[in-house]
Amino acid sequence: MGVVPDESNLYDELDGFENLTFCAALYGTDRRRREQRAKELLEQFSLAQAGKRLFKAYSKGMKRKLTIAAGIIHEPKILFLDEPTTGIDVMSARQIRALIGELNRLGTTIFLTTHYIEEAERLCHRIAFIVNGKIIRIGSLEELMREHQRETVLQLAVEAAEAELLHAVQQRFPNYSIQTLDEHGIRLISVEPIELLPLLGFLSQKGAIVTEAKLIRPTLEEVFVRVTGIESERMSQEREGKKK
Amino acid sequence: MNTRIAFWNILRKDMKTYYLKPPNISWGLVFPFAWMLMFYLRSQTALDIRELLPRAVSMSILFGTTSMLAVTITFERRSRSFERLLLAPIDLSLLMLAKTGGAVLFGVLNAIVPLLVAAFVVDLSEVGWTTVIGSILLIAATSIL
Repeated sequence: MGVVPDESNLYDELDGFENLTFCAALYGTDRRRREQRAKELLEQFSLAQAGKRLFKAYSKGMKRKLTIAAGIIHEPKILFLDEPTTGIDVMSARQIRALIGELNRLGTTIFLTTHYIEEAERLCHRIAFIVNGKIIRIGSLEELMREHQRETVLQLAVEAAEAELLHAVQQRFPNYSIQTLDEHGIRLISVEPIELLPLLGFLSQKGAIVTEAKLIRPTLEEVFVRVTGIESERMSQEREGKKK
Repeated sequence: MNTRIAFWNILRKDMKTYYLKPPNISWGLVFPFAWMLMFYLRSQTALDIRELLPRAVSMSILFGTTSMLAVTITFERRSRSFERLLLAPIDLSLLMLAKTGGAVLFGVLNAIVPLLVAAFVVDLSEVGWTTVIGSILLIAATSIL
C-alpha cells in the first residue's frame, strides 16, 4: 500500500534521489533495486535534472511529483492519493493527472480524494461523495449521472431555426419541449430518450441544415449539489479559499 | 521483508539529517572542552587528568545522546514525515530502536572527543580499553532511557 498525503512530507535535508531511495528502503528494497527504481521514477516524473538537488529547493509542483514518486517507489498495488493537484501550476497538474492515469492503466488501484470535482469526473472509474466523513453516494460516473438525469436534453445548431420550422417540429414530436437559444440554437427536452434519426430525418425533409447535435448532461458538480444539498456557491467559495 | 535494510536506512538518515549537522558537531566538540575546563577550575586541589577523564566522557555522552533525540521525533511529527515511517511495514519497536540508535551512536562519537584530547596530554597506555569501550556503550545506551 502506498500513501501520498496532501502535503509533501519528504526530507528537506535530502536530495530527490536520496529521498526516493530512503522511501524504498523502508519497504526492505535492496540497494541496487531501489537506486534503479529511483532513477526510473525521476525520469518518469521529469525530475532527472533535479535528482541531486535538495528537496527544500524544489518548487511546489516538483515537490508534489516527488512525493507521489516516493509513494509508488515500492510498487504498491493500492495507492491513496490525497489532493494530488491542489495548489500547483497547470502544467504540473496536467502531468500529475496523466501519471495517475498511466499508473492506473498499469494495474495500480488508486483511491483519490479531491475537492476538484472535475478531476474526479476525469480520472475516476468509481466516485464516492463524502460529506462530514460519511459516504453518502457511490457509483460509476454514468450511474451517478443517470440517477440524477431526470430528462434528456438535446441541443441542435440549425441554420435559420425559424418559428415555422420549430412549430412543425413541435407538431411532429409533441412529447418534446422546445426552447430557442439564439438564432441557430434550439434545445429539445424530453423525459424519454430522444431518438436522433427520425428527428434529423424530419428536419432534413423540412430543408433545415443541422450543423451540430449535442446531448446536454448535468455536470458531476450539479449531481453532487443535488445529492448533498450543498450550495454550488459555497463549494466554489471553499475551492477558491483552498486555492489561495 | 528485510527489516535490517529499513533499520539501517532510518539510522543513517537520522545521522545525516539531524545529528551530523554543523551546530551539533560543534556542540559535541565544545561541550567536552567546557566540562573538562569546569572540572579543572572548580577543583580545590590539582586534579589528575586521568581522574577527570571518566567524568568528562560521561557528560559528553549524556549531552550527545540527549541533544537531538527529543527533537527528532517532534520535528518529524511536525513535518508529517513521521507518518511515512509509521506506515512502513516495520515493527514499531524496531522503528524506535532505529531512532534511538542514532542518538546512541552520536553519544559514542562524542565520547571520543575528550579521549582524544586527553591522549595528547597524558599517557593512556595503561587504560583498560575493553572496560572503557564497554562503559561508553553502556552509558550511551542507558542515558537515553
